Amino acid sequence: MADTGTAGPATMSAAAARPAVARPSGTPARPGRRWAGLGDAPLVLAVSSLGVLLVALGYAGGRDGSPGASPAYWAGQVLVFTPVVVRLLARRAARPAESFALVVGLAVNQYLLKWMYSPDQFRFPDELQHWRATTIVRETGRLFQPDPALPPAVHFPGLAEMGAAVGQLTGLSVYAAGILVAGVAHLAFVGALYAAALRAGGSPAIAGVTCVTYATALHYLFFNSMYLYQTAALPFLMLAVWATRRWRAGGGPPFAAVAVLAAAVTTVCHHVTAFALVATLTLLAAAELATARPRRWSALAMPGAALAIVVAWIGLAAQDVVGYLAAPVGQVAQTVELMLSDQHRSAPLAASVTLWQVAIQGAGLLGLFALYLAVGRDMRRRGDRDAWRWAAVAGGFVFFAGNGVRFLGRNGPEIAGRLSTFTYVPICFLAAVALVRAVPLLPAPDASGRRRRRPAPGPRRTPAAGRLVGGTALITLLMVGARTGGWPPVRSILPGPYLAAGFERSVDAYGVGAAGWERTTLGPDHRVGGDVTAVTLASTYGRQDPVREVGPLFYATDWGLADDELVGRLRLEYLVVDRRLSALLPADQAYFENDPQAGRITHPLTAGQIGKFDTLTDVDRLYDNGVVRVYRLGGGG
Amino acid sequence: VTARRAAVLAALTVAAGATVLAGPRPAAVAGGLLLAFALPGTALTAVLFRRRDLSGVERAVLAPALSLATLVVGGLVLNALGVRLAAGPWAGAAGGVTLVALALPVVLPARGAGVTEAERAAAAALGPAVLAQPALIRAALGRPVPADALPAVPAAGPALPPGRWLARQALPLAVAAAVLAGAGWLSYRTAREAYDVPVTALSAAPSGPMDAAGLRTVTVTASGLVAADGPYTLVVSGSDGAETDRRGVAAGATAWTAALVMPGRDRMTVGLYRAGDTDPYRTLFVAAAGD
Repeated sequence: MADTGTAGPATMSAAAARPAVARPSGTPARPGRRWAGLGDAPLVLAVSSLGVLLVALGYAGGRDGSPGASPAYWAGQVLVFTPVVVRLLARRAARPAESFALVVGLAVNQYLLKWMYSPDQFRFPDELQHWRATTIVRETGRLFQPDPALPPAVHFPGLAEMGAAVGQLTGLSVYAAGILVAGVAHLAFVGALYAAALRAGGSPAIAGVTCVTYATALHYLFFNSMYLYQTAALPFLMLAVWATRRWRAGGGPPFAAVAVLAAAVTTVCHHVTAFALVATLTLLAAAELATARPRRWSALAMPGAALAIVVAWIGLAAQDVVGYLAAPVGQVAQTVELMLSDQHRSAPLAASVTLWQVAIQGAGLLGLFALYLAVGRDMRRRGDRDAWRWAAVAGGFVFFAGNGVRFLGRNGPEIAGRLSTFTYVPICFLAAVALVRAVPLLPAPDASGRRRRRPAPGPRRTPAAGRLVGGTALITLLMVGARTGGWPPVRSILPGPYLAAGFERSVDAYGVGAAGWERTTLGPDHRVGGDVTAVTLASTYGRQDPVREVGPLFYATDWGLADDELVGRLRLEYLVVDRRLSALLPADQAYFENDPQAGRITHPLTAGQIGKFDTLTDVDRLYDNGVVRVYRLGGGG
Repeated sequence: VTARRAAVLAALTVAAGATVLAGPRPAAVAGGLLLAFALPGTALTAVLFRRRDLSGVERAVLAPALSLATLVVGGLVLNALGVRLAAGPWAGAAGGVTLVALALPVVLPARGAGVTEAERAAAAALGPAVLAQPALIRAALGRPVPADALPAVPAAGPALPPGRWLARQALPLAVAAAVLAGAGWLSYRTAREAYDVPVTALSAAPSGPMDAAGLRTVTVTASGLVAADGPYTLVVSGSDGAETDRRGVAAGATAWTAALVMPGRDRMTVGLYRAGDTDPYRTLFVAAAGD
């Protein structure tokens, strides 16, 4: 298998024998242009940093309701991103140092965009859950301790280990340590992606464009750089891929050892990423077996090793993950079943997406698809035998197929986004190949006007203005599409005042104050229910055992026997009631987890629904801060 | 890694461990970050790939990644051994891995590490373009040779003149850092200002058991009291509306707490009033105690 980043001995011997040593990219060395340094990267990153400042102004405006906040945000996003894209596309022979500096600098700037959204504390529910998991490790000094907030994470302690270690080594808070761990993991992931793309593509420009295109993944900016166990696992997934590449290219046992180590750490960090790693390595091995002659069956060794590690970990330590992952898969399957049986009229099947969001994202996807087809056709015409490029073609197909999932049910966009975290890598690589090598979208017509007979042109040496403008426009469009379709949702893309069930936007001093009271006054591990935010805060800052199925208690206009039975069945001890639920519609179509009215809520809860708990004579109201109230129901027996 | 560089790394590791365990806070932060994110990975990369060609990018990626992997694997091992995870064990794991990795080349010299003078001369004659790429060195000499056993690689191409370096690299990076710091400060300040609102809460601990006289004690707390809204008044009344207790509540820096004795068989209402309020500002209900 060819590896342009690590040429084989024969190639190198020939190269070394020549007086003027060839550079890996094939262009002769030109000492006058080769000065050590970062090229124009510092200047470009300085311009990009101004975009960060604009976004910060947008965030500040969002917090105090300034009208110019949104324009500042969008201008900032473009200013952060687009100069780097232009630079990478404008100079296809950029040196690795400059290209890598641009990619890492962009990753730093974009990580700051995420951090600045909530720079004083974790607010996203999953981050709060991992905050608690890390806190447990710090407090107990032990791994695998029960954690009601996120039970599956107990058996995937990699992130908590990192966070606890950094916190205890430095004395920093769990939040500060978490921000550092997530940031370093995020940068390591980007670096590993760059290294893998460089080895697979052989060009710093291709590697750089791969990374900036991947920065337009739906979940890149937030989910994949949050303090979540997937963030910790992703760099090791990509490290395993890179090490496998080097091992298969004759790098030797150390690369195989790093690949196995990375597979093990991936598995200890996150289940889905571990599955994705096995699938990725299997695809790469299958592509190698299909393209390389003679076949080297040793290609199956690494996916086999990764599979063995994953199976062993799940079988020995994390059996409960099977049930945990079955729920969302079953939900998608149920949605498909409903669609096929035409029984979906009672509830919306898809999350609400505006037409302009569909238009932006659709245009970006169409552009990617055009590049995908162009590269595929070009590879076929040239008789390309590179296993990894064909694996990327197969992976790209999975990406486009996976996008259909976003239209399946309320969780469809989330599942599709999470899937694209992995499947977006190959399509980004192919897009980079197409843009950097100027692969024509359509073959030029021959004298007879037919396009098929003309041989495929080789890579162009001079960057074309059309390619630069078109490529920049496409990648910027993809970025805008990712911001509108990714996280946070458009309605809460800026930080600001409280939103009902609005995830980060719902965490404020009232809710946190109530959770703090639960921890200090009630003690840990009581069964506490409430809306999405109340349950999250209770289970993390409050250290309580969350009860997520309490929606019917809120929707009831009068308290009845069914409610008593539900309280008993759930062993519900305390109920957190946020009065703002009677003034605001839920930001995400549901007030509660497992909300029976999800997607059908047209008006806020009524004052009667919220206030009926006060009329129950055997119920205590033990906490009242004017906004959040906590009732003791006594369902715990 | 050269012997000199290994010695520096070892000394840095020991110093980082010492500051983590006994140093002042800023030094502990720096030492902890080095042990967590840099030193183990740097040492492991050096020992694992001492006879392999790695680009600068790959080394830059491997250092933090292998450092984090060290924490994950080290934590699992420590936990399996029954060691309580704390600063000391973490520092021992990270520092130990670093020092062992740095010592390995001394204990187990790499095959082919010895380079003859003839090979050094041959390598030097190849020029900097070859010396910068270990794959080319391997190809030229016919065997893998540690880069540190060969002549130092001079900088590729002419260095930038100081003035141009300042203008094109240092200055833009400094501007970028300053802008990012300003953006971060702005975000942090505005986030704190938006979050820091006074939250006045009235709360009670779950009531204790009813005594023989039919009374129970309920500990009531008022927190987040705003001096400008005071003086506050706490009123306890029964289900018939009759007051059973009334007392002033001082707005101080800390929460106000009192143990209130109230009838056990009645549903009691506890109200907190601001100065001039006719309706309670905060209200609690304490249900009648069961039999």
